[in-house]
Amino acid sequence: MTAQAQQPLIILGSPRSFTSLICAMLGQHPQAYGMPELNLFITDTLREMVDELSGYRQIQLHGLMRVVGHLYAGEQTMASVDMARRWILGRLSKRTTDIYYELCERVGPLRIVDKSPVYSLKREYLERLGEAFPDAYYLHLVRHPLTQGESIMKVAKGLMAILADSIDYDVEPPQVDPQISWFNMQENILDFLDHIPAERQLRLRGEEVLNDRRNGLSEICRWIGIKDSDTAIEAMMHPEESPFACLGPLGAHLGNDINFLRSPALRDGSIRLGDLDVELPWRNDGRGFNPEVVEMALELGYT
Amino acid sequence: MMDPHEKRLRAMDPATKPGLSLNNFRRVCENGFGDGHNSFAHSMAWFKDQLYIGTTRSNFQMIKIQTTFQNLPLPMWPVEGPDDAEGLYRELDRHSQIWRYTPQEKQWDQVFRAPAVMGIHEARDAVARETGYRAMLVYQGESDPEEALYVATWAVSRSPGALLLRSSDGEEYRPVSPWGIISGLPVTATRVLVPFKGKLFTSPTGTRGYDTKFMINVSGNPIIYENADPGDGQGIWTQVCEPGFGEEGNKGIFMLCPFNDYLYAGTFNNEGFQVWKSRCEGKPPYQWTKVLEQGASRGGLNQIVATMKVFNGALYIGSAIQNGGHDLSLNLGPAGSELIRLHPDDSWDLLIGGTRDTPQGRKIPLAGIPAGFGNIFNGYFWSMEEHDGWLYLGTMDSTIWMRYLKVDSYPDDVRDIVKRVGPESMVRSDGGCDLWRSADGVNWLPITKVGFDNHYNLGIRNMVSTPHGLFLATANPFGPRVAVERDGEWVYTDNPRGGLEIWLGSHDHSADVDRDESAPGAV
Repeated sequence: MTAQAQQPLIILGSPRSFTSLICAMLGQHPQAYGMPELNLFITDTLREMVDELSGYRQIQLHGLMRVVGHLYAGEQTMASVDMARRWILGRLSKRTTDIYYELCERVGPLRIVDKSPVYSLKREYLERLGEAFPDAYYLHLVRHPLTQGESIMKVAKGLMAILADSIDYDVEPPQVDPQISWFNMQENILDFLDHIPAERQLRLRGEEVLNDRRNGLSEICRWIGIKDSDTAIEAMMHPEESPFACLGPLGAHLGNDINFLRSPALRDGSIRLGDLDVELPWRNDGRGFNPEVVEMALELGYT
Repeated sequence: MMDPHEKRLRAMDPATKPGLSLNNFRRVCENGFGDGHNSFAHSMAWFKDQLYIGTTRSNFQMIKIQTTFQNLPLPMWPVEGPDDAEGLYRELDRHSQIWRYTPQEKQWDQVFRAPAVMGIHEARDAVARETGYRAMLVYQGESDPEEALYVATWAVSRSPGALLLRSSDGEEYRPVSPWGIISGLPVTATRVLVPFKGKLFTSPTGTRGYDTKFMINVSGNPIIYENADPGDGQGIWTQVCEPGFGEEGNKGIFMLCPFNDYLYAGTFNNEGFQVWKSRCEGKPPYQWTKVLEQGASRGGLNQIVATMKVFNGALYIGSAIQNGGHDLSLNLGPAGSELIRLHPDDSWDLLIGGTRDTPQGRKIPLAGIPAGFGNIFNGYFWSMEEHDGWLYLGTMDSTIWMRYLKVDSYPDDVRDIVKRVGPESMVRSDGGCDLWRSADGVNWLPITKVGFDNHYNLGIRNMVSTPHGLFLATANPFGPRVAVERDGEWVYTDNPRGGLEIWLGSHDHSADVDRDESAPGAV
């Protein structure tokens, strides 16, 4: 790993914060390569990662298997899934960082755009990422905690929040409440970014990027130093052209948010902003946002 | 759901260009051109924008009478045929054929059939001059005004000998060698015709008078010869190495392949194949250097170098055990083949095979795939070809013998597997040759593991990359009548799926066409 151009652009954000869509859009830039969720930095070695992602968490390997199939075989098929498994097995003793470097070399000179929301769950993940790529650029993509929470709760009856232990245990019975993970992840991200030079981090509200796409994309391009020509912007208006913007083959059908995979194209219409002074629709006790969530949201520019 | 293949291509796409998948292949010939005795597409070449196939006939009828196969524990020989050599000559049409395919017209023409000659046996009956064409090459010798199609014949034992044929137009095939190809040698066959540094190189695969009772693929003459003008009719070939490179274990030279300014030679050796190389410069015999021995430290299970191919700056070597991956006379196998990658500095990788310690260190199969692509009955890695940036590898898969052989004939470990899974279940799931591909030699994907849905397609004997796509040709000796079990009785019945097949793989073939509706290509 030597070339500056191969330092990835990492999108940090909580789930359901437009990270899939905007990652796919940026990934269509002629100088970039949008990845599905690689999740590589959750462990030191690939063996540890495979061990950790067992059972229902196997789906978190889908992104890596799709990438390997596409890059090394030019296809995403059941045969390439088998091939990708062998690819992984042959590298079990390697550091996940080295696996990431290999992928960077493979797509070079294109720059990887990566969004793996799981990284924001734990500081150790982010620190591992920071050590691997000391010159990476970080796009902190935020979404209003109300609409983000509503979106989370629409996915499998709040399963994503449950898996992230976003549960209010102070009430009886405990209640699933996505604002908890929203806050924790934003806090992790902000703490991590405290140690990143200002010029290599950019915070944007996802709603504003998507409501003013061309200007939002142009701003990101200028920030990371890639061209923002009309051709480049037009390419980025077609996230559905990403090879990973669809359901994959049996055995690796995910690798990204399933709603995005089912409907990856940009849609017309503006995205509404939420309100911080509301009764939370996913709770049945009439409570609103916790004070620290409100404070955080205000800091992020929401009202 | 959108197919990822249909996504718009980027100007710069780091993804590997897609290779050919099963849906890209169409059968352009079946049933041995309508004659199930055309068993092996033993040679193939692309010449003047047309495809040429040289057949070998009645292979399983021939081996039925060979000593090695006399005592196989079979309820019935898999194909109907005579019981002795006299019957072979008396009952079968053994005249091999050359066929030509014109892709634009999807038209096959038989352009040549071996003539009859006076036999050299006592009765002096007329016999087929040859029963197979085991090597085919587009080559221009010193006296050739232009490139010509050279064909090496496989002579029946009562024929005066093998010949080198030459055709300038693809229709007329004239012998340009004395009997035996190499003057003074009673050669009956060669599978090797390789050009290198302005000369043609060969080595006998069969020689009359040599006791081939137990090794049907060796000639007793493990020598490489060269000739700058093989079409001059003289048959003056020059020996360029010591017999067996001076090692008694080398029973035959099975493959030659130019690579990195050297000519590489792979041997047949019961202790494991050897690979030698020479620049072939100066006065012959040339200086040869041994590069691999003892079957790359696997021993006799890597008995033969069956195929070699240069791909992405390395030499790929596929191994085999004779008799379909199970050498009954030497009790070698059954065992799957291995794939070795040899680099210009003589270092090597084990790509497909078994982990082992070697003098070069511990070798782990980089592809993560055991020998034979995980099937011990993939006994030959038989053919390789580069096409559109991919390396394609075709196997010979003897799984179908499970249908005929009594289980007790296998070693204990294999017998246990066969009994547990069931012979017919094995045939259904794995019977038929494999075709795999890789863009980097390490990451492999299967295209078919069941002979393109024909278990009788024993192996992929030849592949040729052409502007029209990748042609591949099978060995299918299960014609014209095959043994089947009915109500506990074994009987012979017509086999419309017996006889060699030719397939064409091309991205121009859309995925929505039923492969079985492709042009049958019969006469």
